[in-house]
Amino acid sequence: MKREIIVQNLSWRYATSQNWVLDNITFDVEQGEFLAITGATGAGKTSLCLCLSGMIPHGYNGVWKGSVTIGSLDTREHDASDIAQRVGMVFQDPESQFLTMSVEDEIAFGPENLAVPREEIGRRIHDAAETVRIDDCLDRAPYELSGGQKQRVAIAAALAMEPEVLILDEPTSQLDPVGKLEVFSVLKELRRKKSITIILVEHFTEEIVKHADRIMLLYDGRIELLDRIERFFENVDLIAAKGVPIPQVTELGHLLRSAGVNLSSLPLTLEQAVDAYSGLLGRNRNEQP
Amino acid sequence: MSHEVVIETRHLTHVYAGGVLALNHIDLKIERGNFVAIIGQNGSGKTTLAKHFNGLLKPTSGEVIVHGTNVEGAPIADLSRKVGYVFQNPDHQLCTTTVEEELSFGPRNLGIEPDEIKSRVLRLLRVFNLEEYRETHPFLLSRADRLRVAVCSILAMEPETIVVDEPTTGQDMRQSYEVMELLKQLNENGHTIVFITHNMRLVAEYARRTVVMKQGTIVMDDSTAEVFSSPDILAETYLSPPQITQLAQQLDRYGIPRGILSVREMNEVMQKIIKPRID
Repeated sequence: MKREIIVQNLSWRYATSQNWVLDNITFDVEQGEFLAITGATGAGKTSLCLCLSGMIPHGYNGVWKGSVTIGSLDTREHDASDIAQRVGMVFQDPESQFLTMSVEDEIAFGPENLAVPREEIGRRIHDAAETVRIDDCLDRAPYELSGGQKQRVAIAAALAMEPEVLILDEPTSQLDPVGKLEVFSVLKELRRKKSITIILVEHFTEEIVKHADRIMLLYDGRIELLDRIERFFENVDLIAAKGVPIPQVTELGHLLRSAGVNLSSLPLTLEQAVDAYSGLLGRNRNEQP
Repeated sequence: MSHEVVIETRHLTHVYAGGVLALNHIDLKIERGNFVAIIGQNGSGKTTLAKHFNGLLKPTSGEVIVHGTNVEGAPIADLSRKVGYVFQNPDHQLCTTTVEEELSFGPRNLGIEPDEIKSRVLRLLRVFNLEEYRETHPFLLSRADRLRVAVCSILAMEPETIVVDEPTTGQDMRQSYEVMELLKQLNENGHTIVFITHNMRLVAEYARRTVVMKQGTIVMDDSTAEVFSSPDILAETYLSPPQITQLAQQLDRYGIPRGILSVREMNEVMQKIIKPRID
């Protein structure tokens, strides 16, 4: 597979910070891969996203070491508009990135600035709005929408740039349960339809395990753990110690194992857990006198 | 928990300017010492309801009785002695230039003796690990720390009832649990706690009673285990029980209770069933 993102020995310190906010980070992401990033507050998750999108170092003062390559672009050698065509970014608070008075204008804003032809913009609006299922709201003002709808508009606006990489920094942290599910279902749809590479910063590991290929645990500016989902959660104690929640069914499996119950693999989703634990409980019941 | 009612609403209706009906005839009684969660989607009326508990909002019609006093006409100062309200957004309540000042502000306005204020403030700074920020401007802190300062500034007034609107926004898991553990400790010392959240795991682990809201009405008000065992009500309000409760419900044919609320509880129940075979 082609490597879409290459991060080598990346360290970053804001002009105002005393310590390295990112400290010697090295990893790759393959084209079309879905990588989740998790970690406690202050671990460096947002700073890492800003580095991947080129906003660091272009928009911030600080000290940089190492390199970030997106596609074939070294982010330090290209300005924000070059990188913006490759990397779309969605933030925690969708309102902070709205600029216009209608959903349609909002989605068109990026491609218009790149002087994309009118018909092409129309096609992109249609395509992006359909992917996030917001096509029935194109005339409405973004601020009138529900939280989940706003965040879907923000995702559509990023998609209209047709980026190779989509970065979402805690896109559900300010949404109610319905809004959260809306965003996750859009991510699922995106994966099904497109070969886009997705980086998602998220604490809600019970949802991450349904979507991501790998998870990175950041702690204090360093990569503490980076592995495929099923292997990642073998490190329950370490993950919990770093302040990241474990899916409850996985935590249960870990406790049962510690008590001597034989579980070949830790369940990660509710469905896996129902299977695994029915097996345990059923076997037990059948064998009882 | 006693039967004394500390907060009561009678046919409480609130209509915002512009005609939005936010609360529609709410009848609710909260007893002293209870630990109550209010859940529901955004726009269901949770915050509007909670803001009536200490007079931040006045009813359009109906009544709110706090510690036996009708809030109609009661001075805010009296109400804030009884019911403290922590805003969802800490920046809506922070108003001074140092963390110590922020914590002293409330009790000083209530006319508490300076020595007493100082000892309360120092204790809170210690408990919340904020000692190093004593002289820091609140707006220089992270959002998570600002929320903790906001909680402390309410606690410094030692109100009997504490209302916290979404203690988890912008907090990571450990910080959310820290705030909840503190509320639990206050509850054990006799304070009544009301909290609003979207985090069902915290509701399950901390709330004794859960009030479910939808479109300005209360659609269920019962023990937390009972609420999370009511699939129809939850489906109607698009809420789901915590994952561990869902698991218990899907395994109920093996004798697992449907009202399991925590991983610890589920672990104990499962081990009781499985363990005899292993040992």
